Amino acid sequence: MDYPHFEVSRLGAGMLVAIVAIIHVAIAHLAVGAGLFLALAHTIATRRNDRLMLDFLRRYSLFLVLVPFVAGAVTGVGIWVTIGLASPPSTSALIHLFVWGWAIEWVFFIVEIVAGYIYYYGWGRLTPERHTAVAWIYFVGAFMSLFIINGIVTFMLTPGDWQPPAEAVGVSAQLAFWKALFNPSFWPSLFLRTISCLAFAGISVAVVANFVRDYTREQRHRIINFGSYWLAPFGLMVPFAVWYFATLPEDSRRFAMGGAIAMTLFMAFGLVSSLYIGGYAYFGLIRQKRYINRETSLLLLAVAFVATGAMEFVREGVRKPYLIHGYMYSNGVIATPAWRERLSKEGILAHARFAWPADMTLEQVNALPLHEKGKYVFNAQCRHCHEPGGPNAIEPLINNASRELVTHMTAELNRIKSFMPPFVGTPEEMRALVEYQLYVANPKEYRPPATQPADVAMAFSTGN
Amino acid sequence: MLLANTPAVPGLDPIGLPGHPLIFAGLLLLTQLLHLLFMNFVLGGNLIAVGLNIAGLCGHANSAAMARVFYKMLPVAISMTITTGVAPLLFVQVLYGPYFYSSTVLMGFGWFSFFVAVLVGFYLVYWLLFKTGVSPALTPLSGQEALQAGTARPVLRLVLSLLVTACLLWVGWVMANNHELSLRPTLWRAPGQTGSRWYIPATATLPRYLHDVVGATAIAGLWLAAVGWWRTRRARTAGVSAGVTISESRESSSAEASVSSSLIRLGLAVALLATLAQIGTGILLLLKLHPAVRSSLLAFNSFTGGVWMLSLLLIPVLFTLLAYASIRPRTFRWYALTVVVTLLLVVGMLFGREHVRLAHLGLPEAGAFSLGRWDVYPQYVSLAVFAVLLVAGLATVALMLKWILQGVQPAADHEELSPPEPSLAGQPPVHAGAGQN
Repeated sequence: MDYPHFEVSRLGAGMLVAIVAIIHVAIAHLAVGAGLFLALAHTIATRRNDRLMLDFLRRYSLFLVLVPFVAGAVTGVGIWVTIGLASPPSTSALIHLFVWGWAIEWVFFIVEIVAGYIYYYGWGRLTPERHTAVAWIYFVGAFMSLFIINGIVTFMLTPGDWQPPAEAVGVSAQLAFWKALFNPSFWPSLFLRTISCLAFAGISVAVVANFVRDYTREQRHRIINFGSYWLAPFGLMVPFAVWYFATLPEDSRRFAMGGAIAMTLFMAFGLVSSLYIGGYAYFGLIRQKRYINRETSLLLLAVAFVATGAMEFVREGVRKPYLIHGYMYSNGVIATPAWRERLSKEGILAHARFAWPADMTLEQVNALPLHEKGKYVFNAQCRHCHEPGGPNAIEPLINNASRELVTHMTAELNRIKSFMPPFVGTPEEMRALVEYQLYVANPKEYRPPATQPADVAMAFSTGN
Repeated sequence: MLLANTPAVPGLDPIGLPGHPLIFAGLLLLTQLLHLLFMNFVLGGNLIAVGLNIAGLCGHANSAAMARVFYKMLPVAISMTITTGVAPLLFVQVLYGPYFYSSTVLMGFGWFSFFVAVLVGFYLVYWLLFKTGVSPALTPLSGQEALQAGTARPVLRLVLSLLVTACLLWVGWVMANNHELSLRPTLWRAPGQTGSRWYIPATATLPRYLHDVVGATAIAGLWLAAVGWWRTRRARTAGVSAGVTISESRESSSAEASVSSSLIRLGLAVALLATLAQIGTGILLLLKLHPAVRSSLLAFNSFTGGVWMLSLLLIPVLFTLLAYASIRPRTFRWYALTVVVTLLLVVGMLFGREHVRLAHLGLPEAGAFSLGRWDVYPQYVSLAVFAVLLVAGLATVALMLKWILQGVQPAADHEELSPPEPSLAGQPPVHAGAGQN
């Protein structure tokens, strides 16, 4: 609202965030799961003097250096960059609330990266005991990084009884960070993510083993079978998902369970894909000792990617109309009653100086015809999600609706559609927004109103 | 009423800070120093390596071998640059969020492009390593290897090194431009300016950028000399312990010594020249600063400005030391002293940079920002947990580094012991000290 708008024509900033985030999450989960795989496999292989497995781990460590340490680390910065562009207010809120969380995560990130490289360079240089210890240190660093990030991500959807520091007093202010971190969905989400991490590790073992040219089929088979045990827990996605959804706010649960069909379908994709991978691993790989060739391993990787992407999409989607549940709406407006009251009195345009042209004053903006002024109200309040000409464009949503209908829909937006935030601003700004919507839906036939509809002010005063 | 030229600076985040602003300012300076050291190796080192690749094509004996030594270390250095870069990125957002976010959004895809450029550049580095026969390992070059280094696809290496350098230079430009834009809210809403603001005319962006790049080259020169010293020392140790024949040992150590010595000489020469050029870019930057900011920097009336002014006294000392170390490249103590003075100077410059930022943002047209305007809601428990974990984390890192450095094998043995080759095919694993598994 206060910040300039990051315009991503056609695609929309939200979709750009989703693309970068899903790529990053998949690679980051792989990095964590690979950590546990390396540590356990290295320990077992060293004890058994299993030269084949040690040789594989040596090659697998190169894969780790090439994928998670490059694409994973850089897209991690990338997701931060992208959310900062798409929604500065919510990024700022998460940064300021969780400063020490990010700082702690950074420490684990350093440990993870250094341990990963030392593990890779340690072949032939470290004693077996030290090499194994480094593998475990890598896993601890990677997992604790996930632990912290999981707390921050889950907080956005289930902040629980957290209060902004300015409103909390005494001990509550000191513990605000911990209450926010260990929020209601923290633990089920951590289990879900850990399972996803293990599955990515198991699949990546099959992929890497298939790309080693000088292994025989039997050698590959043995390695793949070893890796398949990491896949089996994917079947536990369903009970943990049930636990996770039980902790969500009622509206969010409803969206996932049929209230918003797109969310329901994506959740079904995620769960079915997870069950498929878990079932395939248990019945095919563990019980039947089946072999996976290169193509099938890549297919499994793609299915796991779809499952993760779908679940992340659901997690993001069911949070609407909030970015941070109960605290900040998806358009960056702070949802506390005090802020809404302030914006209703002062107007949203007075707080959204990037929404209107640089060479105009607020007085000049206010003096514009309603539908022109409404464009700037739209920029301030709606454009975060409704990019003109892009996804969620407003024109087809308005279609041929009457002025009265658009007026009531705007005034009662959050009541008619529970995934939409309420309008905030002055009655005059609401009128302007209504006229702008009518104008963009049908510019040729648009006619300014002769008089102010009598029910606008009333609708506004009773709405929200 | 809002006027057209009123600074459109968003309000400070109502969540406030979880500690005194000076804690975050201190952490910003500390982590920025760490990041700069690695970033300078990567950026400046690549610029030097491009020169080495060109010299190698022209037939200069040790150039390709020196470039190869640099490229072997590059992946780890890039990773550390990214890792250490995360923290200052965090603390900048904590303290200067409204300015930082506004400028990044105004840069739009210009800002977005920086991490894409890092990603592309990083993979280009691996491409360079794999396609030109340099495995990304810390293994020392054997005598024969050192002599043959650079014979593998030198043109491709040059092309790729140019592309990598272009990516890194772009990242540097984006950072400098964003920094400058974040300091000047009056430019945010200038009429008629639309689209990604990847270049702001009439500001100090260009001199700032030149100052950053030239400074990075100077520090990279010192890094290369450090690598030369490290290799020299390690070769001495290896010469004693390696079980190689006398002739092999002589050939190996002679080639090794030649490359190491060249690294020291080249590194010191580059550092000397770049530091000289840095004075020019520094003066240019100073002249381009807002007059009020320049006056406050030179007024000696604040702690940050005072530290910067005092650090200027180190410049002639650094020149003397660099010149002396260059004349006597076999004497380690002059080099060590040069590094210490350089570090102090860099710290002084970082203080100056922070002073310039605060002075800029404190101007009325920038919204009269000061760190004291933040509401503070302390989270001392969290701070304590962070501090303990930081110490434990750094101790763990130190322990692992000790292990790996203790375990480095003599040059002649590296072939069997090196990490996997890029094809995922390679030798069976052997653990140091364990014989056969």
